[in-house]
Amino acid sequence: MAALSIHTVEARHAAALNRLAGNGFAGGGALVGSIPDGPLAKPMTMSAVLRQVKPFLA
Amino acid sequence: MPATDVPHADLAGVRVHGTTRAAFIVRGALAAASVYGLGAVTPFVGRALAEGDSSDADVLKFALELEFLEAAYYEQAVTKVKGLSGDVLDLAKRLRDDEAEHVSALTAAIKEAGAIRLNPLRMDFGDAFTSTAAFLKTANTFEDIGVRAYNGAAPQIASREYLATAGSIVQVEARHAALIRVARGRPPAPDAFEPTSEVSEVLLALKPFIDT
Repeated sequence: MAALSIHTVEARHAAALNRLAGNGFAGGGALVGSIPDGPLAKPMTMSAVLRQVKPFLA
Repeated sequence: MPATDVPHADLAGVRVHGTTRAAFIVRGALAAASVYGLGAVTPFVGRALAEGDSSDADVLKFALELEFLEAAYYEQAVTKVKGLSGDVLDLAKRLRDDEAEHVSALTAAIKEAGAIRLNPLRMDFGDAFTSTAAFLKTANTFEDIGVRAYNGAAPQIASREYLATAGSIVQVEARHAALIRVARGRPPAPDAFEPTSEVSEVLLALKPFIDT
């Protein structure tokens, strides 16, 4: 339940931030766009997530 | 005796096999019926509880009812909303396409689960198409209640496959909700943790739009 209730709030954040950044619904990479995967969201593996966040880890 | 105390034929005819089903949909429906009358909830529940279906199929069918409603809403909105144009029209078209895909995905899952397919109920969107603001307000209601309904129902899904389907849909519903809210000038994510809705709350929220 906790994971679910966080999941959809993260999706709201992602969509709103992309909209405010002037991005369209999709395009420019897997993480760019307010609805980047189309009607069905695609999961990302843990290793792919780590690659994305690595630049931000001290 | 008030009308709400009379067992409705649709509900009385439903034989409940498992406690999960009883706890989830029937209890929610009865709670809603006690406030608004059984006529408000039987179109959903009588269909969602076809005898012999698995509990997962019940939940998927409940989700499909929501998607039918949203898909029909945007399908009609793109041609009917007075003055709809620009970014909001683009958004309405995008949401129309997404909801149609959700209907397809859920219909496929329901078929796989061995349950009968459903046809959309008759819907009445009232004065939601009289202006862009009215359109966005009702869209906001549908998207927010949709997210909460999925989050409330998902723990009832036993199959990992169907849970993944629901998860990939609900994430997109949340994105829809955020975009509609931004278009209204409202906060896109009003809660740090998404509230969940019980079946009864979902039925009550959707009651005005179902033409019984």
